Amino acid sequence: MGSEMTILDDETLQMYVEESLDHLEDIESDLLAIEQAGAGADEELVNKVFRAAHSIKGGAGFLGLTAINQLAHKLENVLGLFRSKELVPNPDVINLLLQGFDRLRDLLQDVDAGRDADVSELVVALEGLTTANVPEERKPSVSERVQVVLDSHGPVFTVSRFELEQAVKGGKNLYVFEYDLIHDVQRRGRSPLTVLQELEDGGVILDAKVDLGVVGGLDSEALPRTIPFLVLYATIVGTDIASGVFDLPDERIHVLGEANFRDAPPEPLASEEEPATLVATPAATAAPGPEPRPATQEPPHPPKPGPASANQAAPVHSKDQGKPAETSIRVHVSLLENLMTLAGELVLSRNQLLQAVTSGAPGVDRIAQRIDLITSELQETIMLTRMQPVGKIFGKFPRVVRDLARKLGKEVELEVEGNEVELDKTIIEGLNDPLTHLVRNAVDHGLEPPSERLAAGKPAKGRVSLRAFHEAGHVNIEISDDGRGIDAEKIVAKAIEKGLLGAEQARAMSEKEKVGLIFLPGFSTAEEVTDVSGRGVGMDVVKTNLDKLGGVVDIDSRPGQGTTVRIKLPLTLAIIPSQIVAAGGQAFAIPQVNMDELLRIPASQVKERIEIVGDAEVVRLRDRLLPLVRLADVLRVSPKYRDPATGEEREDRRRSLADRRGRRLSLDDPGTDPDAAASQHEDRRGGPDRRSSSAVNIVVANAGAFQYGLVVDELLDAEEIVVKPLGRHLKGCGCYAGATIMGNGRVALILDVPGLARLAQLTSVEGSARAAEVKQRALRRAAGEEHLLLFRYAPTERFALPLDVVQRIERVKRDDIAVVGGRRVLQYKGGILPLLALDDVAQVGVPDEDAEPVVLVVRLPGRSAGLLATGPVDAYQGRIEVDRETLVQPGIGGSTGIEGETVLVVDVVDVARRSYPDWFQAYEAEETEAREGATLLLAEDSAFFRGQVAGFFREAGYTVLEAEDGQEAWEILCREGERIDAVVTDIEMPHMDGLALTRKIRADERFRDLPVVALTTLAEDEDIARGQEAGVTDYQVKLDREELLASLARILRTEEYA
Amino acid sequence: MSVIEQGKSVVRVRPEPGLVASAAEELKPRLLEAVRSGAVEVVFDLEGTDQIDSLGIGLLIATHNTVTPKGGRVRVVGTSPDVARLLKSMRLDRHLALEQGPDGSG
Repeated sequence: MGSEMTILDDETLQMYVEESLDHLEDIESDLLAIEQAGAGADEELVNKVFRAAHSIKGGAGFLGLTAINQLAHKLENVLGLFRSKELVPNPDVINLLLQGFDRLRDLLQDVDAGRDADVSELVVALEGLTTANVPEERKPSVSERVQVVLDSHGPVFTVSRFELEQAVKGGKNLYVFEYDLIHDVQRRGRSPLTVLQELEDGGVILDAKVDLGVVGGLDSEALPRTIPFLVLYATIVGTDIASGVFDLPDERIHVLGEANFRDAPPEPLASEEEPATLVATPAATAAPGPEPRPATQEPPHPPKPGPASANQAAPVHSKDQGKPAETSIRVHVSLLENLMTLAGELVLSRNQLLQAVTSGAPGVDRIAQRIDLITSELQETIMLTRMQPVGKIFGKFPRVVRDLARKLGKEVELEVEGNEVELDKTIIEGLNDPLTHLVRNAVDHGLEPPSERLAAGKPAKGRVSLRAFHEAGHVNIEISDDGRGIDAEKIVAKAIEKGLLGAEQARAMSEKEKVGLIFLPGFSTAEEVTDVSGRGVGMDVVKTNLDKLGGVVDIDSRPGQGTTVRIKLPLTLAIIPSQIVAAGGQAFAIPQVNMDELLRIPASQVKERIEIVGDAEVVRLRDRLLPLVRLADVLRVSPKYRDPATGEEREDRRRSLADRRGRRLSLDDPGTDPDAAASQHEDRRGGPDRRSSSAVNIVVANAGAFQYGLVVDELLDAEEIVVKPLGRHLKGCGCYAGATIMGNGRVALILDVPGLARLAQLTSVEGSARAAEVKQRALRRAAGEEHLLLFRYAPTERFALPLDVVQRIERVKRDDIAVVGGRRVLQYKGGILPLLALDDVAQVGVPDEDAEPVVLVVRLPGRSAGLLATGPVDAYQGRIEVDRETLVQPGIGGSTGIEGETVLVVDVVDVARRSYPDWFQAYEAEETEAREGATLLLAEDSAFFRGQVAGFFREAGYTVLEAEDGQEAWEILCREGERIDAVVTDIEMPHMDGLALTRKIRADERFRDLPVVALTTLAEDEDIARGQEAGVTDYQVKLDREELLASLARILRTEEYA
Repeated sequence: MSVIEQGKSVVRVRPEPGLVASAAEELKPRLLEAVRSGAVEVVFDLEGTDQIDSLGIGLLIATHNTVTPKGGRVRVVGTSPDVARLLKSMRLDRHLALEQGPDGSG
């Protein structure tokens, strides 16, 4: 039990520490704000800091972290005085609080060392603050220090007045005890530790010192005869009995009174100085030289090992708190520009070198590595010098919004978040106008007048929020309002009216795309042009501006609920990550900010996934249809191959795609003559065998409001490229954003993704909802997370299947389902697919009559089957806990909570087994065979139970390894881990119990997925909960043979098919 | 018998059975010799013991008094929580480098 408690504690402790450090995060700035406001400090702010101290205290108490608990408690008390206005925040008090919170942070960062930490100084000081209920002017400050003077010795200690005043509270007496460690301790057979313990039990040690000088050096003849040890001590033990209690002669107990205190200079240094020698021993004057200040002497709070000290780069924008004055430098812009250019060149040479290395030149790899490193560092450092917080722009919006709201007679609250997010100076500057426009738009057009809001059941005061945050290497800025939203139909009508869109096209568009039309050039929706929104200047200008910054803008609107405009920006403009592609024998760069994913359609799937809708080619990507643009066509890099017969059949289309790829030129071979390649290609057109073997490469490009697929010949490397401006002659093209030089020294043009879409006269085409190829998503699995497919059957219940089991998802018509011999089947891919229905085996609801059925094609042992479902079908990725107890029934393996809803986890093998028992006969035989191979590790301390349970398993054909406790089991596991298929463990065991073992298994990379079945004599809910917390796969009662075997068979089967 | 490892300028000591009178007596001359032959940094490795008495403390101080004028220092490593608490309460941590890790040598 003991070890289990510790481990439980460790987890809780970790959580506590993380949470507490979170609390501490912005306490510093809060305290400084409180200090600045003084008596008028914001109550909410005080409360916030108070709550932080309070919760840190609470947790520490629970976890037995005494030092942290004490310190947090005292901090809380002082903050409580702020709250009750009994104490006015002043710099001294705030200083002390800052020190206290600093110390708390240190203690939390090293919790183990912090357990025994001595926080008495701070505690006493803080206590002094809270208990000294004296008028402000007499309130002692921390810096006020007092010397403790003994008649016989002169000043012996220097302490803060707080400590002294606090120490004598509650009728305590102050003493200086003058021990001699030799006579009073060693000779009496006492240990210094006992003495210390006595002192600590009986009072508070305020300060202490050993008179080092008296001891002499190693060269003294004998061991020291005396080691004076002085203790400044506060205790309730009275003067009359102190000698007896502490076993010290009366003459060496000095009772202190006011006469013994003398004001000391306020510098804390005073305390460090060694006052005159204390004990009048001859040796004292003879032996000691001047006490050198030892190198180890440290201030009580060692400076934090801040990142700044480790960071060799100039701390231009170090976020080190507390010293804002030194965190920025002035650099001439032209110098920055030069540095930037240099860094750019360096990146280029690095790329060239890398290229040389790849092509096999010997000996340069080390240099390459080095250059790579330096370049990246240089690049990052220099980039920093250009970074500025978006707060620079955000800062002006409160005023803008306030003025605008007043003018328009609206009530608006502006929320700003992420002021500290930094972006390249150029981007910041370029962002000013578009952002201002968007914010003005939100207030002007987005928010309704108060009367209209009230009528719609909203608060009269509208909300506009401005948020900047980092995501995936980009900066996102969101401007959202809770206004009326954008009426998509209105936008469409306007677009059609203005001739920007055909009615036919409009029908195919999704809501989002319709709203996105607002970005089309020449679009403005304001019914009346107000002087705020500007004249005829619409969102298209915003978009053009953002395009120039390499940004992508996206709009999301819900009628009646509000609009969110999201801008995704690169951190800097000069060096951007990009994907190099090839088309028509040339290389092009696509900025990654414009790219959502890369798609390669294998030759075998081209037919299924690339289709013609109207006169446009589209690709089916999961549940959507993406319009395709062939890069070579748009750029007319191979005009000879433009397919003249646009109305041709799909297969011919596909071939044309394949042909272009076959014709591609080698990028490394400048000598290739396009004409020769062309004629080569003509030849190949004659050979259909070749064509069919080609895959299609697609870049899923993001043009802001919509996506499209850019068909390229080849996907090459991802490269960081340096953006060079385009020559004048290319400026007018509209499809290029710039140029760059690649690793191989060749020039590549950077594609302008939205520009290409314009050139291809593309508006998006969104097909009707399609069967989702959700399986794709499984490829992006993150470690430790479950991938589930969520679906419904009856509209009221939600189900889940492990995504891996699902092969395809097919949306079918009700009529496609036939009943043959009492069983439902589906005509599928030229065959018959047996269907499984949940309501055949489990107590679940049935779908509505008119519900569109969806068939989840699942893999079962030896065959496929379709599970009937209804939409919406969703993929879910995340950590879940499956409760395998409460909602279990035939076909349902358990339940879990996802997005606040209970989801039943379908055991599709069980459903199939119950529906078609005959399928499994052959399989059962196999299973027995499989079982023979399976090896179990059984941990159980009772020899009786171990024998019994091992017996069950051996009978059933398993190989069983036995362990007497968790520790032994762990050792066996480490030794023989590879052959063990599952662990079966008792809970209560000596040395290491079952839960500890399970946690250890779950925490280990090698065994994380190993099934663990926990055995218990009685399964109380609480035990089960603990087991699940630890990560057991299943919980079984020890002697229920059938259940136990069934559980294992189920688990091992899941393993096999998962 | 205590263990002494002498490096060029660093001496490492593991007092047996702990930092107590017997070890102090035995170590004192050996440490002196070490210091005379050039050692300026003395590391007391207390790993695995929490025995400490007044004379042991005396040895720490004497060593400190001897090496600090030469620009050296005394480090105490591997201290148990009790020993660390004692040395701190006596404010000896102001003079000696106290490292609670199992091995302060880094």
